[in-house]
Amino acid sequence: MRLLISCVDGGSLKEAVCGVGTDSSVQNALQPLKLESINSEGTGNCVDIIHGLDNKFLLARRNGNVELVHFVEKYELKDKVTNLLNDSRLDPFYARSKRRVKLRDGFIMLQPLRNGNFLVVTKSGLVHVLKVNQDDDSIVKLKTWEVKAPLDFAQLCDNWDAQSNGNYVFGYGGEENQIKLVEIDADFGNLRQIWEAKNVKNDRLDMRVPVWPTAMKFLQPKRSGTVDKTKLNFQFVVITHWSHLAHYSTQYGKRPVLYKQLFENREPLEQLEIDADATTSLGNISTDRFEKFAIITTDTKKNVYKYDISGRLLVKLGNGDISGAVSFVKKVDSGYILQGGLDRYARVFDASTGERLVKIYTGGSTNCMVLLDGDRLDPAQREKKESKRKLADDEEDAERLWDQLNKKPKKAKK
Amino acid sequence: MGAEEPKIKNKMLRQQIFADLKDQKNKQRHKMRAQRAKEEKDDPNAKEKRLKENVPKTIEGMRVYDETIGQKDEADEEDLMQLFNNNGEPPKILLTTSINAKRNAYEFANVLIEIFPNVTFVKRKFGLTMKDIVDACSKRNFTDIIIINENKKKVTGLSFIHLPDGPSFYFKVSSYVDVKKIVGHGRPTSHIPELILNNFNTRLGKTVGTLFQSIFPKNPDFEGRQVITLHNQRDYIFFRRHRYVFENEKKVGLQELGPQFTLKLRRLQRGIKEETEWEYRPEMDKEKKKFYL
Repeated sequence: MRLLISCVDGGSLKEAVCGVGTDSSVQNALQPLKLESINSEGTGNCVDIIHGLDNKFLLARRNGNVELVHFVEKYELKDKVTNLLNDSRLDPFYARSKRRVKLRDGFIMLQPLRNGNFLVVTKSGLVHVLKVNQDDDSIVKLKTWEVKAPLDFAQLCDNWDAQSNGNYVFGYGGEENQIKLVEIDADFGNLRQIWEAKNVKNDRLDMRVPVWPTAMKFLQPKRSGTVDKTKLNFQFVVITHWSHLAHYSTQYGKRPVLYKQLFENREPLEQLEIDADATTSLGNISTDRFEKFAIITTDTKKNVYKYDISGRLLVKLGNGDISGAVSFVKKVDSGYILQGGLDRYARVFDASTGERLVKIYTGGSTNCMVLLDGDRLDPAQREKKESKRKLADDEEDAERLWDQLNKKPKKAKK
Repeated sequence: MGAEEPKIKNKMLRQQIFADLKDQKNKQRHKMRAQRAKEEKDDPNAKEKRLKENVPKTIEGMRVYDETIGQKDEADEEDLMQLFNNNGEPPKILLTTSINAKRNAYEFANVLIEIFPNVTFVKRKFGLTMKDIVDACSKRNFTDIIIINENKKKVTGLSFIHLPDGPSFYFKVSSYVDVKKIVGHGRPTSHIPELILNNFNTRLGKTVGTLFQSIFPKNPDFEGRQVITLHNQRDYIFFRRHRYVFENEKKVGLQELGPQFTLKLRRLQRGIKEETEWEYRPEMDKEKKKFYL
């Protein structure tokens, strides 16, 4: 297994090579074969988002740069776009924010569009379109728009079939910033808001319920039953800072279909990942029904929860092992869940069983991880296994096997 | 007494015999030690060899493996240095209490005012949120906030919040001994003390150690001969304050200044009490040989 890990402390990118069963916290357990820093640019320049393009990577750094780098054995910077963040746009929001630390801009989304274009969204509501040309390893900024800040997430809808006109749709939201759906023209000519959610009704005490969506994932557009073609057809799952799980369907209305508080103490929910048989490349859900899939979410303490879509707790991942807040969790195609956080360990779980496969001390709180190679064995183990297999192929062994097979089978005792 | 030995029914006699036996053993031991000391005086290598061979099995010695001990990473140092982000200026501390504090908290605050240099005490008022306090302090160039936590008229905890972006630490306070109760205590002066940090080995321990380093100025007044010791043993941090006294050219004596108290880390959070980086859980006490600092 080969991982690329981004650490906040020191702003380093680390490459880890390990096999299943690696646990660096136990002295006698299998240790990682390799854990090396390939690039280090200081805490203020740490990588927040990594997007892999075969041997090339797009890195969104905290200093406001998006870099195109080449990495096979050696880290090589090819091109970069700078000044994509704007802290001053967040200044007016600090006074009424629940956050106690001064708000700083950062990247919240870097997702691919068609034809080598990428959509980059920042906390301050800047939406950039970047063009990556892999032939001459260049990256350029095509367009920038502004949407209502502050943002905590943005998620691109990659159900391309649904948008017959080829336009792009993404959703965003944040602290006291209701979820909005935004459409971008296929030629990046214009950006317009097409839908905005409405807050739920006041609670039993007739008090307003605070708004703070923290993550969302799209479902397929509604197919079953009656579809009103005059209305938009988008469906999505949302989690909030106030520990709500919400189902939205634009066919149903602007309020959520379901709005369930998962914790009594309103523990903030931070990350959202989908655990389903099939998901899209951007982590959206390949079904049009709110059933038969689970969500993976995290709080600000140490828990990684797996809930079914109706809000019933299924399991806690890494319970008792994780000791700090989880800042990164992602389910990858090869059936693994990657997890990293403030406890400075990178972990890999088996998505189907929830068993911990790898635990590596990275030396810094983990910001982002990418699985480069999902082989369960490390290279040394693979070599050993292959050499055994070669022995079995030897001619002598084959002859011996034939001899055994030619012998008359013993009669079974009655 | 062995099982085969006849049992002496007379209790007085039994006790006497046992005391005699014990006395005899003690005398033998003292004799052996005196003899060994004499031998080791002649041969200094013998003592070294004996100490090397007879390593006692302590709980600390048998501590569970922790890969963060002894690892040195440049990234770690950069992360730890964020506690010293006040551009080389001495730390400026705001001291306050929890809301609706009682007498004990204020008395403890008086003690802390003497201990921490450049400290300003502010009485906690109702209606002020943590964000308001942090905002006001950041504007006045305070580098740290210390909050005394009082529960049921007892001082139970201390919060350290580094400004402007954290981290935040919460310690449990126990075993407080007032200055007046320490026999032969001295009177502290206003000199900046020297700081001794013992046994902060793990990555978490280093973070805690750096916190204490950052709240005391880097230029101690050596003429004051005052030392503050923060000694970590089995995750308990013992606070002691002494003055060293040169008795002659070779001998140094210690005079305790007090007070004494013990801290135990309960929580370390990013920012101003936001995401938890490490938190104490009662299950941690089950494993006696696992230490976190």
